[in-house]
Amino acid sequence: MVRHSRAAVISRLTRYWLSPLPAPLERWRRGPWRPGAFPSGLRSTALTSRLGMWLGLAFAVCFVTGLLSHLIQHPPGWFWWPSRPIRLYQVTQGLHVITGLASAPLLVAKLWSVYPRLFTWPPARTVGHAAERGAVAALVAASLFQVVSGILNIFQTYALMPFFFTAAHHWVAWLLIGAMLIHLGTRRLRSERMSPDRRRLLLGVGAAAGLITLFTAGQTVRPLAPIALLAPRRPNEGPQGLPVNKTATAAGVAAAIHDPAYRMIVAGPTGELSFDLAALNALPQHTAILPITCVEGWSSTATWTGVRLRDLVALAGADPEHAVAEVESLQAGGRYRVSTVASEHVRDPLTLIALRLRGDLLHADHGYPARLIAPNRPGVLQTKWVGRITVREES
Amino acid sequence: MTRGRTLLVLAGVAVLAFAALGLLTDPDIRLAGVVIFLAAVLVLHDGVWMPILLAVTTVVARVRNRKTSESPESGGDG
Repeated sequence: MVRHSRAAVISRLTRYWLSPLPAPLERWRRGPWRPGAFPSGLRSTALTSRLGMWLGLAFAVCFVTGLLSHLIQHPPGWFWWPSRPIRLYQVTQGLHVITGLASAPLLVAKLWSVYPRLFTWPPARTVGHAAERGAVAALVAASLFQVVSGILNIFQTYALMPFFFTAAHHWVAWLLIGAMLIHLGTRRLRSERMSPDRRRLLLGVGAAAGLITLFTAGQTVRPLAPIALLAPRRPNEGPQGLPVNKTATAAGVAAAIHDPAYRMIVAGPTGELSFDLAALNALPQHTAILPITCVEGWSSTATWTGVRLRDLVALAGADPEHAVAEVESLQAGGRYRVSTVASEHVRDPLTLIALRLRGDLLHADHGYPARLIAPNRPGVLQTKWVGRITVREES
Repeated sequence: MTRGRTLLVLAGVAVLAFAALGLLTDPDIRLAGVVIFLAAVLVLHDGVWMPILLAVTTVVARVRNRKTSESPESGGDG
C-alpha cells in the first residue's frame, strides 16, 4: 500500500483540476460564440460588480427572512420564537417579499451584463473551469427559480409549478446560497469608477427596483396601500374588509360550521370539555387588535373578540404559563389543518379563540364559528373553523 | 487563492451538499418537478428571453442613432 503525504495529494488534485480538456474545432465557433458577437460597450466588470453586490445583498435578506419564516412554521427543538413584538413577523415577511420582488430587475440586469460570458470560447478549458461554469449555471438556475417561483406563489398561480412550493422554495434557497458562496470565493469585486452611461443604466435598474417596491409595499405598509398597483392583494379587500386565502367552501367545511350540533372540544390533563356556541359566548370575552400576516407578504390589522386561549387551557386543567396547545380545524385534511401553539403564545393574553371580527360574528371565510388569532405568527398557523383543542403540559 | 476565498468556496460546497441532501430526502419534494423547473427557467432565460431583449434593444439603439446622428456604423446594444 502506497502512503501519500498531504502535499502529494494536494498537488495531484491541483494537477487534475488544471488538466486541460480537448479543444473544440475552430469551425464550430459560430453565432454568439464568434469574437465580437456582443458589441455593446455598456457592459463592464465594474458595472457587473455593482449589480452583483446589490443582488447579493437582496438575496441575503431574502434568505435570512425566508429561513426565519420556515423555522417558525417547522420549529426544530432548539428554535424559540416570541409572541412579542406583535408585528415582528409582519416586518420580516413583508421584507422577504418586498426584497424578493425588488431583486427581479437586479437579476435581469446582472444576467444581461454577463450574458456574453455564456459564450466563452473554448467552452471549458480545464476540469476546474468546467466545474466553475457548472457552479455558475447552478447559481443562475437557482436565482431564476427563486424569483420566478416566489412571484408565481404570491399571485397564487400554483398550476405553473410542478412541485410543492414551500418545500422547493426552501431547498432551492440553500442551493442558491451555496452556489453564491462559491461565486463570491472565485470572483473579485471591482470598484473602479464607471462612465456616465453605465451610471445611468445602474440608476435605471435602481429606479425599476424602487418603483416595484413602492407599488407593492402597500400590501403590508398601510400608508402605501392606495398605490399598491402591482400588489396581488390589497389589505382591505375581502369579507369584513379583510383578505382571505382559503374560503370555507374550498376547505370543505361550509356545511359543518353551520351544523347546530357543533361543539368545540377542549381536551386537557383533567379530561375533555365540550362547548357549544352559547357556552363559548358565556365565557369572559376579550378584544385584541392584531394583524393577520400572510406568508405571501400581505398583512392587515383588525379587531378580534373572543375567549383567551389561556383561559381555555386553565379550564382544561393545565397551567397556562407552561402549556402547549394543538388547535385543530373542522377541515378533513390539508397541510394546515392542525397548528401547534407554543407556550410563548399560549401564555400571551392577546392569543384568542376569536368569535368576532370588528364586532360582528366571523364571516364563514374568516373561520366561523371560531378561529385562532395570536400575535407575531404567520397567517397559515392562525387555524380557522376550530373544532378541537388538545392541551398538554410543556415537557 | 487566499485563505478567506478558500473558506468561502468550501462553505459553499458544504451548503450545496446540504441542499442536495434536503432535495433528495424531503418527502415534500418532487425532485423531477424541481429539476424540470430549474432547467426550464435557465433555458427560457438564456435561450428565449435574453435574445429577444437584445434584439429589441439593438433595434431601439439603431433607430435612436439614425435620428440623433447620421453615423451609420454606430453599433447596436447587443
